[in-house]
Amino acid sequence: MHSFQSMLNYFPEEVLEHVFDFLTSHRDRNAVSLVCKSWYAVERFSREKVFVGNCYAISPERLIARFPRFRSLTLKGKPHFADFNLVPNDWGGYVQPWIESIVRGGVNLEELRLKRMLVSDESLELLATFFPNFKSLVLVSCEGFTTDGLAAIASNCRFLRELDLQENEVEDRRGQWLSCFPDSCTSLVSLNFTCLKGEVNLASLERLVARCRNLRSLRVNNAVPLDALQRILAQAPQLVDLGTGSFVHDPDTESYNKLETSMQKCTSITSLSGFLDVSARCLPAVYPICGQLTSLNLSYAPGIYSDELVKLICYCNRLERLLVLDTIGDKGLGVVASSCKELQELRVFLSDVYGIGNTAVTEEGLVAISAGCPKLNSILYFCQQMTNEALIMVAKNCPNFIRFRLCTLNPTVPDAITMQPLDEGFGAIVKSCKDLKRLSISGLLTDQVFLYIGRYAKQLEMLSIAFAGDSDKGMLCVLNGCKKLKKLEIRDCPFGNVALLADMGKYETMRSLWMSSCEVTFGACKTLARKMPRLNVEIINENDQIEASFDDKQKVEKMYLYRTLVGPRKDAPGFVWTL
Amino acid sequence: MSSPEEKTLILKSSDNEEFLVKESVAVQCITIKNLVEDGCDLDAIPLLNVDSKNLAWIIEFMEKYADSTSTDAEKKDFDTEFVKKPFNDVLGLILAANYLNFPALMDVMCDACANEMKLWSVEQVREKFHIQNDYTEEEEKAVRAENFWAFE
Repeated sequence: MHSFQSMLNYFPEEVLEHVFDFLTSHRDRNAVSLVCKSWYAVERFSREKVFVGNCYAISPERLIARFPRFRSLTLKGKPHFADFNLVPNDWGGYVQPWIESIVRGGVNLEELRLKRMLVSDESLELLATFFPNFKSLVLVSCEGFTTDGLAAIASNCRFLRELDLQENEVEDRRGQWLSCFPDSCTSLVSLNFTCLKGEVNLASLERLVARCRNLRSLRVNNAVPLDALQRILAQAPQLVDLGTGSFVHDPDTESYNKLETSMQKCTSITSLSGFLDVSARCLPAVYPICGQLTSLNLSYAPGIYSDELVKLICYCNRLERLLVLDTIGDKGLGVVASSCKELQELRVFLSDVYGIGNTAVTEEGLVAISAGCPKLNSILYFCQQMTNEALIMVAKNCPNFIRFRLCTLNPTVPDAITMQPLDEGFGAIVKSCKDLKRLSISGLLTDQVFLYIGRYAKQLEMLSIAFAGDSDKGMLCVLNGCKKLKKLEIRDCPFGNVALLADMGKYETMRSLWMSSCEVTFGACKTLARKMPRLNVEIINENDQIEASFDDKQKVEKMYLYRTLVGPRKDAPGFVWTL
Repeated sequence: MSSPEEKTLILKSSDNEEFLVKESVAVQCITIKNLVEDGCDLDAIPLLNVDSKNLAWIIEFMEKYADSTSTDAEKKDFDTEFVKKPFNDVLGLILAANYLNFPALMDVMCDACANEMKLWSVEQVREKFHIQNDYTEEEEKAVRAENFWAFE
């Protein structure tokens, strides 16, 4: 009988690797690499999926040196506030140098997932040319490429399984990119081109769907009309995820009847989205599958009002995820609360983006949802008004929130009834929701709310603040109290140098900090940059003033800082200065 | 002449205990399968690296998995109970499964091992595996920085 100790000496590397195969999260893999040097070595040669949360925190060369056998890369570029047009388009986040290095490094890349990066047609052509086993391309909120780049991918990636384009800005070159998928391409499992504005060849699309028998997810764009959708569904009843295109048709036609029939046969669809252009009279065609749905996204559907939404949603008893516009109204949310008992995630977006009218949802809708849906753990809620009483009730009903994002139309609106700040309401949320990881606050807020956040939000990783607080004390409470904070983004708050410089080491424990239209001065940023060489402190100034004219006492319009292993980036445009 | 399905093998553990197992069940271990196919005609197959404690468990697992009447759900339930052993025994079974080249058992035990590891800190992993930390403080700091700053 061998002793345990000597047995462990014979723990072969391939056995260790086999154990590591079951550690798929990057957190777990990072942990095992710290156990000892031989584990580090086994882990680095066997890691297949790499996640890089900030493309400027490391270089592609260092990534390849550490993980030479990686096959899948996730990269993120611009900070989140880019979604609100606060970051200039050409700030950075270019994928080209990454792809060039990966080509040079002889990596067998199979999967690339990018978020808020700049992607060129040249980048897509490189992918298509140099990676024969390329299987999966996911682009979220990216820009810089055209349909010509997509044509290259379609033409050359023989084993492509996934092409998923979400919310990208893509220039349409009218080159019939979809027709570039060769007849031999039968491998597609997922195709999403909702965000494309241009036409696709409908006959090519139908043929493509017909020959890809493993297709599970299909999301088309507005240029695909309802009758084409019917023909597609007839060929692909196995679909699990469907994004319709234009959903407008005369319901009294054969086409529409055929659609109803085809839809009924799609017994596997659990996720439905699209309706980019929709006539409410056509919605009944989807009623037969409502009972199967776990995910429903109607947030792109303009002009469907509360009554019609409700008729659809009341059948969706298995819904776990719902995205709607505020046209649903408080009453509609009441129906959601009574029909969708399995609901985990709700997002209510603004329909009236220019803020001309009123939104139709208030604190009442939120309270109704919290009372009716015990499994709710993630919410994004754009609303007209809010009250502390409502938030306190929500906190009591739903202690399981992981993500809580509230956005009032008027960013500094007080409690609609008491006219007090909303500090107590958000305080109740952070006190009750012990697992809260992401929080966005809104409304009239003083330093008090930050006291609560710092005291109670111990698991918080991301915090978004706008037009809130009275003094540096607010920001200090957050920096001191939120030990797990990774991303902090602040705009239009009275936080200044004292808060910024109080604990400079804190920023090395976070991924990034964004501050715009605050009280931070040029001099303080310079001090921070000088004392913390492993941070890149970037000043974004779009007014093209020369660096020399910046007075230390001058307030900085936009500052973005992040920890990095590779020093100042070399691709910063003229209006971005790394101090 | 007995047909192959009925043939019984004698497996001998490292501590000289003998176990009777049907050949059709035992060949789930590729090491044993190869021995049989190579025409091994010993009375008993000696498994020098597997003691009786482990061999008994392995046979229990083999018999469950060879049983064509057990459903996938039943196998999952069985696995859940089977892996509830002290961690040292989990490691012992992994090594035995590796020696015997038994893929199904390997997967179940490695998955169980990984699930335990997910709950532990780096220090706890070292303790449980009896591993000496050979990083210097500087080196460990550098790996931590690279892991958390770049890859998380």
